[in-house]
Amino acid sequence: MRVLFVATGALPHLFPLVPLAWACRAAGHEVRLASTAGVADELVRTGLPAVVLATAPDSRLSQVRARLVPLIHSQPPWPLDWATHPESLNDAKREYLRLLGAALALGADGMLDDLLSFAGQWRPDVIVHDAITYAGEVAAQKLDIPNIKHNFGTATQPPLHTTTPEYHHLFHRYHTAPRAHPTATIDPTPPTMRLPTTERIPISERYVPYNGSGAAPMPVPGARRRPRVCVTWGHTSARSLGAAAAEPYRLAIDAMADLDAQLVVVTTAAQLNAVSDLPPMVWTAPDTPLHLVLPHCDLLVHQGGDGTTLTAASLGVPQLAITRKPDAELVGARIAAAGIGKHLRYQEIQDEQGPAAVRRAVAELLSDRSYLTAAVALREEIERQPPPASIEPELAALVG
Amino acid sequence: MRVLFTAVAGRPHLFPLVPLAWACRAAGHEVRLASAPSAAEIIVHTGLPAVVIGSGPRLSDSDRADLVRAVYGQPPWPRDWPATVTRLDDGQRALLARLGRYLVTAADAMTDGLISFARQWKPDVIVHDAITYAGEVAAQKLDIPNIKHNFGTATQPRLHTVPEYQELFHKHRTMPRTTPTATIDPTPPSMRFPTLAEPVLDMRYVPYNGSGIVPRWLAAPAHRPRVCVTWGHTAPDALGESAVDPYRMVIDALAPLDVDIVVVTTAAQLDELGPLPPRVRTAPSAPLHLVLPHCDAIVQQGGDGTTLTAAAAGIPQLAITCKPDAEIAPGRLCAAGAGIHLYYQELRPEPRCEPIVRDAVSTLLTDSAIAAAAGRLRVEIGEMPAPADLVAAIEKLG
Repeated sequence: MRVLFVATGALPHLFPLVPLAWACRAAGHEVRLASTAGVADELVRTGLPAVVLATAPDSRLSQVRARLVPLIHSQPPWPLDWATHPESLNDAKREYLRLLGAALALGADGMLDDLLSFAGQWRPDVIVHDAITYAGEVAAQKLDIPNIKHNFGTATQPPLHTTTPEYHHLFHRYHTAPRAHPTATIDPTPPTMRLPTTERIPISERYVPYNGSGAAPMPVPGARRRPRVCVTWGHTSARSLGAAAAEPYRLAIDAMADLDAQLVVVTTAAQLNAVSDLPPMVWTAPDTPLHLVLPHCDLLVHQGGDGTTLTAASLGVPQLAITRKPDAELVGARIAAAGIGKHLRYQEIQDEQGPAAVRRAVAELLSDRSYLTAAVALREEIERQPPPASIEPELAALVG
Repeated sequence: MRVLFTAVAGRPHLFPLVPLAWACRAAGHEVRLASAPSAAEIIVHTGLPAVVIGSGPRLSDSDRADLVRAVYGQPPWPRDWPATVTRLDDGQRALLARLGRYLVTAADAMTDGLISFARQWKPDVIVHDAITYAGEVAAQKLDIPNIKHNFGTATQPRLHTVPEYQELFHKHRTMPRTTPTATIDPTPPSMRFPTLAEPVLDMRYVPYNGSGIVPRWLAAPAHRPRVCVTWGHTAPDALGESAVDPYRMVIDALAPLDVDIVVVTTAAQLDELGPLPPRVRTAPSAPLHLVLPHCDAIVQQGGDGTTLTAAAAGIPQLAITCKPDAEIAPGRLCAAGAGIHLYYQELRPEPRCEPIVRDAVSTLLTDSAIAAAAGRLRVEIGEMPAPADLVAAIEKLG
C-alpha cells in the first residue's frame, strides 16, 4: 500500500501524523510525508521520506497572516463553550472564524499544485490528512481515492471550513466538489478531551507523543526532593510572535520564583534567549522533546496547545494552561473540566494580582492530589486506546 | 514496555535498527536509541528519542590511519571467506583480530554511559546491533534480555573471538552470555551463509538510509536506462576525498553507454568528483531507497545497507569492492544470481578496466536471468515478516 500523509506547514498539524506514518512504514508500506517548505527541517527530522510542497513564498497567504496574527493574539476571552455554541458568538467573533477558515483554504490552495503533481506521479492508494489540511481532501477527490481525516486534539472542533465559502471555492477551482464525509476519521484525542460533534464516530487512536525529534536530557534528571514544574509554550506562537510569545510564561516563571519548586523550561534556543535572567532554580532544556522531559516533572505550565496538552495527559502529569487565544481556550476549558488541571487566561492575569493567581493555582495543583488522580485516570484512558500500530490494519482494510 | 536500542556510532549499524525501533514506538512502547556523540545528528534525524552516551572509540590519529590503511590495503580475500575463516592466512586472521579489538575499544568507550543510562531508565529489553558489544554488557549487568540485531550478510564472521572481548565483560565484573536471548536478522535467507545458520527471527528488510527529501525529478519518465552509482558513507568517512576514485572511474566508464547516470552521495563527495560527463545527474544526500525505484541498475561499494536496499527494490547490482568486509555481501548476491562482483584491487592496475565495468553494467541491463534473480530476491524480502510483526516477539521476551 502507498500512503500519502499530508499536513499544512505547522507543527501542531504535522507532528500528530508521525507515529501513524511510521506505523505504516514499519508494517512494510510505502509512506510519504508531505508539508510545506516552512517546516522542511522538521519534516526531514521525522526520519520519514519527506515531500516538500509550496517552495515559493505565497504573498496572498503572508498578507492574510499579517492581518490574522495580531487579531488572534488580541482577542478578549471567548465564552468557554464557544465551539459547541457558535450561534452565540457575536459578529466580530464570527468574522474572526471566517478569516481563519479563509486562511486555511488559501493555505490549501498554495499547496495543491505541488501536491497534485506529486500524487499524480506517485499514485498513493490513500491520503491521510490533518483535519484542517483541506489540500488532502481535494487531492483525494481528484485522484478518486479514500481520504482519512486525522484529528489533532480538542481544538479540531469547531470545523472551520463551515465558517467560510472559500472552502467550497477551493474545490471548485480544482473542478471538483467536497465529499459529504471523509472516508474515515482517526482521532488521537481521548474521549474525555473531545468536544461534542455531529460528525461520524471516529476511529480512536492512542496518542503517542511525537514532539519533534531530539535528545533525552543527560544525565538523566535524578530523584527530586522538591516538586519539579515544567514550563513550555509550544512552537506556534513562538513562530508567529517571536520574543513576545514568551511573555505569559516569563510572568509565570517569576510568579513561581518563591515557591519551593524546581522549574524546567522547555523551549527553543531562540525563545530561551528571549527570557534572559531566569531565576536560579530554573533548569533549561532547549530543543528537547517535551515527552522526554515530562516523566521527570510533577506539573506542566503551558499555552494550551493540543500537542502539549495531550503529551502531558499521556504521561499523567497535571497541567496549568495559561491561554491567550480562542482555540487554546477550548483546550484549557477541557483541562479544567476533566479535573486534570487548571485554566487561566493571560488576558485576565496581566494586572498586579496576576502573579498571585498563578502562584495559587500552581500551589493548589501541587498539593491537591485530586488533580494527579484525574491525570492518572486520563493517562489510563489514553493507554486503553489502540496504538497507531493497531490502526494500520484498519487503514489497509479501508483501502482494500 | 521499555526498549533500549543501541548501536556504535556508524550508519551501517544504526540505520538497520530504525524501522524496528519505530515499530515498537508505534505500538505504544517507550523507546530510546542510544549511540556515541559523533552519531548525535544521525540519531536525531531518525525522529526517535535519542540518547547520547560515552564517546567514540579512543584511537590516536596515527592508529586510526594505520587501521584504515590495513583494511583498504588488502588484496581480494577468498570468495565467501566468512564461511571458511579457518582457511585464511595468518595475516588475514591477524587483521580480523585487530578489527575485533577495535570493536571492543568502541564498546568500552560506550559501556559505562550505557549502563548508567539503563540503570536509571530501566529498560525491559536491549536490542543491540550485532557488533555493539556494549549492549550485551549492559543487558548482562541489568539482568535483562538482549536481542542481537544483525545488519546484513557481513554480520558474519563474528569478530568477538579475541581475549579483549572477555576482558570487557570482566572489567564490568560479569561474563559474556553463551548466546543472545534472541537474534533478529533482516538479511533475506538467500543472502546468508547456509553453513553458518544460527537460530534467528526473520525480519523483512525495510530500508532506512537516513532521512531526506524525495528527489522529485526522478519521477519523470526516463528515455534511456537509468544507472545509480553510489558508494555509501563508510568509505568517505574513512578515506575522505580518495573514496571517490573507484566511482569516478565507473562514471567515466559508463559515459559512452546510452544510459542516464544518477550519482547518490554526499555534497562533499560530489565536489571531489569534479566535472561530470553529460547525462549524469546527482542526488546529494538523497536516501537511496527513494532513488532506486526509478533506476534499472546500481553500481555500489558492497555495503550491506546498500546491497539490501537495492535487493528490496529488485534491481540488478554491480558491486566494486575495495576491502574484505565489503566482499561478503556481493559474494552472496552473486550466488543468488542477482548481480556481478568486481574487485577494485584487480581493476585498478588494469589499463583496460573501463570496458570491464561497462560490459558488466551492459550485462546487468540486458541479462534477463539477472533481472529475474533480482526480482526473486525482492519477492523473498517482501514475504518476510515486517518489523511491525516482530514487536509481539519482543514483548514476549521483555
